[in-house]
Amino acid sequence: MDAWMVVTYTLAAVFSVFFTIMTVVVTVGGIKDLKFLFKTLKEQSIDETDDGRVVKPAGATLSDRGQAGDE
Amino acid sequence: MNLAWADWVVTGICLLLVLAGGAMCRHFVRGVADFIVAGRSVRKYLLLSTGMAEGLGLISIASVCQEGFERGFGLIVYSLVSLSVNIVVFGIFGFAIMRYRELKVMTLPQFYEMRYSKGVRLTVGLVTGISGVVNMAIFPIVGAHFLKRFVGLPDSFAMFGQDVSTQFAMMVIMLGMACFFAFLGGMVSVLLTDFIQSVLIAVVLIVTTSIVLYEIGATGMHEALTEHRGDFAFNPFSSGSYGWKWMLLTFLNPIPAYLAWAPNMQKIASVDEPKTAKLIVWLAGLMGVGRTVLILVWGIGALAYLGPEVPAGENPQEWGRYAAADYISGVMPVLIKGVALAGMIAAFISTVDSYLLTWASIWVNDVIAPLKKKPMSPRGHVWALRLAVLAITLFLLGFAAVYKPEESIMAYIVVTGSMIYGAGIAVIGGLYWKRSTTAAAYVAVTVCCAIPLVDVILKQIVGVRFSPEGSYEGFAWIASRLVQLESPTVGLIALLSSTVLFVGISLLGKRREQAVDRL
Repeated sequence: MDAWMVVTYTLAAVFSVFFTIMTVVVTVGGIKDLKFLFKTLKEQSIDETDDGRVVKPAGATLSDRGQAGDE
Repeated sequence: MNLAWADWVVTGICLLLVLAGGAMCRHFVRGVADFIVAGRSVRKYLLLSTGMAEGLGLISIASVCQEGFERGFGLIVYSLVSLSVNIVVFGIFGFAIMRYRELKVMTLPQFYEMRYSKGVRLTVGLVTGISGVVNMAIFPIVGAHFLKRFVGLPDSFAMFGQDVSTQFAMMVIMLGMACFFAFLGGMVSVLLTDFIQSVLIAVVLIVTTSIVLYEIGATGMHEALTEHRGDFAFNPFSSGSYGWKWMLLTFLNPIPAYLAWAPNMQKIASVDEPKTAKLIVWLAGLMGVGRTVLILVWGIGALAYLGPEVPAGENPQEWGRYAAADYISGVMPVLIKGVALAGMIAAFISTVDSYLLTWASIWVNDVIAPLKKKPMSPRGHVWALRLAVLAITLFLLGFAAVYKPEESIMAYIVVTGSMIYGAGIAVIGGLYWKRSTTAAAYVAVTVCCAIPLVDVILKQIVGVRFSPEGSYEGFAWIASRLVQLESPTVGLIALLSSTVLFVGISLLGKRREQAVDRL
């Protein structure tokens, strides 16, 4: 068996196992995240100006830009 | 027909569950931000699972099966080259994506207005909107054909005295379902349904691969690969496999491609905090390679079971794409086949609904809205987004009725995907290079879009007139050479020329430094 075959089969085995394990982890975590999403969407206030428009306030910086709808 | 009634019942139940979930979500959409970026409240596991569902469409399954059937495991190393670049650049350093998320934009072109001008936003909106829709236009064609082969349906059936194409009828049903989710609840619907579908898809991937491994065995696959494909089934650099051009494009394109791919950036815009974006890139990348390995096994299983010869009456260009569908449909037991069918339909819908939403958002927010003098009302804005989703769905159906695929799926995706690399270069320049100019952004975006677009048009309209063996003169000679360019060459030309133009025009332009941190 040449080097490319060894590398290929090793990678195939490692990544298949990784995918299977991560599928379980992500499914359980995803259910929790969905609950969080629905709770946040219910409680979050709506900002009608947060619609993709660009409004450039004078002197605003990246950190204090604070477009609506966040957090 | 390859399916028993029990399979149809299982498929129906799975799809009803997904439909009910999608319909439920419309109550959570109260504003534009909810519809487009789910209120920016998406955490890592949800994003990972939905990203998996979105990234694995039925077209990807067909495409990877084709690669497995024709080139064995060579795609693994190819995927790792791309992944290694992504992990280092985005996963570890958070290059560009963290800054992008901090800006709290909704769509990619919105960034261009903040950094360059409204005109650049409009141009990028048009370019990404056109290239995105053209890129996904092949999805329903290939997806419906793959499912038709899997289920074993006839080419046509009679309805109201007319002969109706089965493939087209399937496209109408599946696109209709994807449109339903994106139309009703926007990103919230897409997230919930994609999550359910990702679980279904993962189960189908693991179970189907296990069945193939049980039926053929690792030794049987190894023998099939060494006997029928030889060295290039393992070594992607060897003759007959991908070769250096694909590898070079794969090494160079992940950065501009990731940053220019609006569905990626819309997901980045939806995360709860910037550091989640970093984590997602490397976890999703690693899972993506695992997923690719499992699907390659289907294609290799088909090669071992059916052999390399193209059966009489089959199109040699398409056979590799659909051989795995015929094969796995034949080896699956009842009920499992029903779950697999539901999983495959889910794979189609989860990709298409996400893309419908992304491209609709770009058409409305970045092409229509900037042209309007008065901003739309929140209700009107959401309805405009819904109508855009519907319009794109109708376009996809029209495209599917006339387009005839001339090259492999992966080649089509690479060529049409490379149309947007210029937008990625302008993102990097805009975020990190103070001297980037508006003119440079215009040129990079349009040149990178024009080259692959011309290639697609040439191959569709002019290509049929030239044979590789023919001798031509003058313009005919140029045209005959152009239509013979391979997809990675076209992608590389587009990427390199737009990068050089972006840098050159920025350096030649008026020195007016824009402080990126004052966006």
